[in-house]
Amino acid sequence: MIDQGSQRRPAFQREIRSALRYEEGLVVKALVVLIVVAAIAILRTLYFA
Amino acid sequence: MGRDFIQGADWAVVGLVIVGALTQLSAAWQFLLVGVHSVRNHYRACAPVFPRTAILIPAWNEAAVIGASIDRLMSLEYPKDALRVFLVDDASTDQTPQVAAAKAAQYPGQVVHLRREKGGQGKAHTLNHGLAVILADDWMEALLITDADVIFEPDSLRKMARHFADPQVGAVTAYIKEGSRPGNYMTRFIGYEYITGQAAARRAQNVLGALACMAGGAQLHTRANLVTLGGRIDTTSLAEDTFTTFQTQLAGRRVVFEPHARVWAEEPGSIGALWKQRLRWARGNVQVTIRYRGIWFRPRRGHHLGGVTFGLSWFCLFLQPVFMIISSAALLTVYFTDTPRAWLAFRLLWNVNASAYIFTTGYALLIDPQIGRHAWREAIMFPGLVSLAMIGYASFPGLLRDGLDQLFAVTHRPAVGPHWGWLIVGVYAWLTASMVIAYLAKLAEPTWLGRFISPLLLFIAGYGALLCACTFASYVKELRRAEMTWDKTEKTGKVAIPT
Repeated sequence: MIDQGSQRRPAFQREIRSALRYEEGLVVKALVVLIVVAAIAILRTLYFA
Repeated sequence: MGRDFIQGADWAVVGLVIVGALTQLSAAWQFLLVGVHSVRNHYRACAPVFPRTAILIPAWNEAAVIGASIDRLMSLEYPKDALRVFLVDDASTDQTPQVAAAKAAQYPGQVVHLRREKGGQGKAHTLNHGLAVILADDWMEALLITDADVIFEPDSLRKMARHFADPQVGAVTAYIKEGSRPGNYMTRFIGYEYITGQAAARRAQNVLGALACMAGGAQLHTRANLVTLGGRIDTTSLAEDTFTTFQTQLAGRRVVFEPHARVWAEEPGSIGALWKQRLRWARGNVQVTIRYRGIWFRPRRGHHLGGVTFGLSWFCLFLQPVFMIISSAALLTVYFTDTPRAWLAFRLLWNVNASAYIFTTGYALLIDPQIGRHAWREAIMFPGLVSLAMIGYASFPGLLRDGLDQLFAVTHRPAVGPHWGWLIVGVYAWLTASMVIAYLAKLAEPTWLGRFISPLLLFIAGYGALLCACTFASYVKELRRAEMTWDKTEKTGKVAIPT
């Protein structure tokens, strides 16, 4: 197994951080969509039921 | 007491109507798990490792695409001395051998051309031919199985290999994206489907610790894992990828989905081609379900395939056509025995479907905005026009009170005309009828009118209904023990990485 850890580690760490940031962004996106679904449900219950 | 029993039975039938929403609920649950992937993932165990990797490509008549594929593989961001390509030519009758020989000359020692003189037995046999050669030499530390047309983004192999820093990992799979350009409505449907089935569902499976299937065009194995599997890919089924995935996990090794390793593939551009591909996959899933009947819903140490959540998500998809038929039958039963309760059950079913649809569609488009921008129309149309109308009506019945609601109200009066009665029967039977219409779209496609009628029928019935019809056909084929034929998906080389 070629381990090029020492010379590539900073770039590698950047990639991992970037991947984790993307995954954290997905949590925010899920919350946004859930809020939209909840808003539709409330609108529907209050005005269109 | 007798009356209570009858009332209880009535409500049980109403409950069966809701079975029609189980798959959507399961999908919504998996999408919720996507959020958990930010904290339950494998990145903390990663390190920049570069195992010596043999890339195994099975090829049958791939002259149009194989040369460019090899060039791209040789230019991956990966140490050049740690990469070798093994092309297994499955008795091609086109220029594949010549192209392969030219590439072997261009990359001496790095591209190996293997040829089977007797081909056509299927992908697993072709892979095994190459595996025997590769495993005979101890150079290989990792094996990447791919297809001739698949385009790897330059950093994809590197991103997959980093998970092998953890010795518990036996295999890693990448995110396959539909890359036909210019595509058509069908490739855009598939592009969207892959967000839901891969980018979302496989992240959720990472969280659960159990992966259902590695992508056939992008699976990276450790040598140790392949040796444990007996150095061979299963040849007894039509789902060799799923079998390999299950065998790896049952042997106690982990399979990881790496969503940031992206590869692009050409997928079917017509209903007929999709049907052939998905029938093979669906039959394979029937075989997997039966072969591994002892593991479902039985949590064990060493693997998570027996987890309840994983089992539910597997069976909700596997049994979706059955659920749809049960739901329609129950709805019609309630309609003919107790009309007002049928209306309640119908609205409950479609309210649940509406919430799940809005959440999963909205979230899927945000999970992969690149594909989302390309295929948002197909994402919206995924359930089909009729189901969309029902979702709209269930969500905002007040808005349509003067239209559909009146129609439904009229049809529920005792003195209802025969035409309205049949219409309501059609609406209540829709979940089953949609599969029939999707199947008709498939049947009509080869006819001279098919070019216009088939897409229309598909947009009416929904892409989801087509997949359900295909799954249903797979049950029938498997029950009849129909011959297992390997229908290769035709590739034309129109795939490209969008800029």
